[in-house]
Amino acid sequence: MLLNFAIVHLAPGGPAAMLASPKISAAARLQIMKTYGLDKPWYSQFELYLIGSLQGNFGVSYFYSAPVMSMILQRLPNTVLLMGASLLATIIFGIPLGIISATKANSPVDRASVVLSTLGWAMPPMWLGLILLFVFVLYLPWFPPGGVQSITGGGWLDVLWHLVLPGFTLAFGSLANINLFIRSSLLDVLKQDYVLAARGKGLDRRTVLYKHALRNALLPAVTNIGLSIGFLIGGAVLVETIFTWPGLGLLTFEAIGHRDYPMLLGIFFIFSIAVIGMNLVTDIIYAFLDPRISY
Amino acid sequence: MSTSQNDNSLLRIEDLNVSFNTPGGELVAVDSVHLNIKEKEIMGLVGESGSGKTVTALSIMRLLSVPPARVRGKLMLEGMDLLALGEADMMKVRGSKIAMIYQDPMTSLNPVLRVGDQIAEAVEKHQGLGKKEALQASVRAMKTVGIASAEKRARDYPHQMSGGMRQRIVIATALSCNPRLLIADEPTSMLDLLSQAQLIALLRELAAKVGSVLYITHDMGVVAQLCDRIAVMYASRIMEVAQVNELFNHPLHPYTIGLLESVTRADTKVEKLKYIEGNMPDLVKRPSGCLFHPRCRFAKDICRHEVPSLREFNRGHFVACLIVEEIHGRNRDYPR
Amino acid sequence: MALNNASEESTETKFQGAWRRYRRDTLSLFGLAFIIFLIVLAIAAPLVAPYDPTQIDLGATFVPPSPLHLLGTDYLGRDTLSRIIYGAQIVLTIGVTAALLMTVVGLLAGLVAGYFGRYVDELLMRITDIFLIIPALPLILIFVAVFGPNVLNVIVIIGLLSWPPLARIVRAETLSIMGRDFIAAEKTMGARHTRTIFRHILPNILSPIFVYSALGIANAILIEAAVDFLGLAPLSVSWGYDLSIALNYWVRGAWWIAFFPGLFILLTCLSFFFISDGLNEALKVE
Repeated sequence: MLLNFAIVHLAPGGPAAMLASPKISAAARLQIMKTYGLDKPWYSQFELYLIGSLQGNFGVSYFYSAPVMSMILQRLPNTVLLMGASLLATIIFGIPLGIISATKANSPVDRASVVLSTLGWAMPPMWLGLILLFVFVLYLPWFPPGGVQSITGGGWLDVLWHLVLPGFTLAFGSLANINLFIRSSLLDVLKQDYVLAARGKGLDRRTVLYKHALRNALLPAVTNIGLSIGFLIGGAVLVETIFTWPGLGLLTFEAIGHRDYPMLLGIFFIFSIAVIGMNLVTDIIYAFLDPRISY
Repeated sequence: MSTSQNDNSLLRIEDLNVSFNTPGGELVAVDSVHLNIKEKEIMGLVGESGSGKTVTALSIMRLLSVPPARVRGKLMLEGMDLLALGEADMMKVRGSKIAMIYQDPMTSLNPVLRVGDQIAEAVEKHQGLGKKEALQASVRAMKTVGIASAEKRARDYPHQMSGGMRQRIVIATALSCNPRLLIADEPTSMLDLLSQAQLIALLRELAAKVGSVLYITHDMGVVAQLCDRIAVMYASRIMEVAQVNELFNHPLHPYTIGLLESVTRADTKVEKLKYIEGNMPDLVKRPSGCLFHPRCRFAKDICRHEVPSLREFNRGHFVACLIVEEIHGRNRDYPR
Repeated sequence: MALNNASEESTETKFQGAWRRYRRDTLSLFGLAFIIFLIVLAIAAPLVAPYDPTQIDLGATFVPPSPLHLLGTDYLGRDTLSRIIYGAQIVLTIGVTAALLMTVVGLLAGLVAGYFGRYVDELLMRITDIFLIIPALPLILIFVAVFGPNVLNVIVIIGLLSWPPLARIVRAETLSIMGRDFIAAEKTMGARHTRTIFRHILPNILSPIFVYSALGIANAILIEAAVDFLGLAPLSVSWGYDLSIALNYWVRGAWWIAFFPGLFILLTCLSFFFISDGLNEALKVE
């Protein structure tokens, strides 16, 4: 079932439709189109594109006059770094927080975390980024304004230093999501009969929590993490723009500004593959962990 | 109140009161309950849904979350007051001295753990066995409850078993540490009839080996087959306690009479289905006096003012009714 | 659990009961109050706003919050307060319309999937799967970039991308209702499909729909702000757009250009979130 739509999507049905439209909306670009071979009949274009994309060739960027793929590859590692760090932070902090929240439901800690998480969910990421920018870069010059490294170059530490603000901004939203999710999932599980039965066997609270409750509560969280990749991608575009983090997000922003369609399509394609890939991975992990599913 | 103190009582419940704080007021789920469960006896606790039976069971095991609930009274088991124990000590009691089996076998087993492990848990904890020995013990327990090819099935997950089988696993878990008291909360109500019959037969067989059983149900038929003594509970109070034959042949409390009348029997002809008029009272705003008086066909004025307590009417037959003599006469001759 | 005595018949209508439960939660009330406030602002914008939001005043650029300009001005001297007040108009319009679109489509899809089952269901579920996987923002951006940044496009694309989750919820609810006896009764009576769906199933699944729609509005607002921020704004007065201005000129230290519009986005989304929570509590019942 999963493989099913993975294949369906790999055939760029979406992008293909997009490919057709520039011809309509950009009449003034006939000249450029000729140069890039867009004046050929659309179906052969599509074919070319399809074959090309499977080989990793997305055509040439309008703006940069350079192959789209190479530009993407250039920026990719940075985005991976940013998203990876955020994802890591989300998992490492979000899950324990959710657990604590649930086990101490309605305590001050819990209430505080719920409030913060609700804010994190409703907050536009760019706002948080901007505020952080103002506070920590302008007024208290603790962090650099952007970029991956200082101009004078630097090692890992330098990169990490630059990573803090954008990483935090990006992670905040998904952390909030995971926190609330785990909290509610765990609270639900704790109400279940088998938790009562476990206590009825005389097991102590810690065992009941870790061995019985968490195993069940964390399962749906796996899928949730997979889904939050989608959110992280959207957020990455915003965050990278704010902090001039030279990754795919910033590339997207620039491409929009220049109406650089091949670039946009290429990026979108990569994003889609990434998301599908992640979801496949999480689905497999889930199937592996849940004994009720046989594959 | 006077109960004849029987020295072979295993569990003595004295004046148990359980109430909950709800937004609408204080809800009294269990009110002044006194009950003796003797050694090697199967005691049935019957009543409608909401009468407080499950809450009673849970409070014996101290599985109620105490902030919303308030539990007062004494639960004497082998000389210890269970309500006075610290949590650590109580955890040693649960599963080893008292074990409970629950209503819904599907939800009382953890879906992501193998059944054999779930049984072995209890054994590991209470008998200090290692993993391997505990697993062997759990296989033995599974055999006792009649599961075929137990070694193989121990590696199954709950969803791979039928409802009847799952319930057997639950029973095996409960019995694995040889408890003195087994509390069974409506263990057959979620099963199909065939499994029900099988399970009851199994319980009858096992009960002899176990010790004492507190069997909670609303099904009078099951209780007739299985139990030695019966306690009838209504709206948080015990209304009547008697030996099973005595209760069925000579019910004293109007509620019990109503209950028995509403049970259809295969051997009597019934023209109209009988039932008890009215509904269970609101446990927050309770009726004054005898809780049953709004629905009682014999109710007199005194029933509205005084609260009846459990008194011994005949030897071993207790009833909580102010006008029981008037209804039945001082001897056993009374109209049915 | 205990049953209420029959003597206490409740005389309030379902609506009053729902309102009473809604009122219990202060946050939900706050949410409702804020949105009402916003609606008033939006409608009365010309009367309330001190300046024309597009009015350029090059002599008063980057003015911090001060008596003349309560929330400061931006790089063209446009008054932030007025821009916020007028901004409420688009936010509410786009948010609500997009959510409406999402609700209608999702509702129909879910009902159809749940009611007809089997192949139709499978097909719809596959489609929703695909949508759920697609990273939303990039697709939206491409769409708007290609088809032109006008209000209609924005509404359409947001609505189109948001309906799958609602459809799933509707489908689940529909399925659970389908199992109930009265549906079978309708079928044996030979009722037409539309009748069954609209008169019987729909009223019973309304509550989660309302709840989710409120969330949908919040979501739509966030997406719209992001789109505006990235330069695809359909209109020149938009909270998201203001944030992009703030970004461009942040070195000037004009924090108010970022703070206030963003704050309003946050409060608006929070309000809808609280409203949806409140609706959840209020419509629970039964």
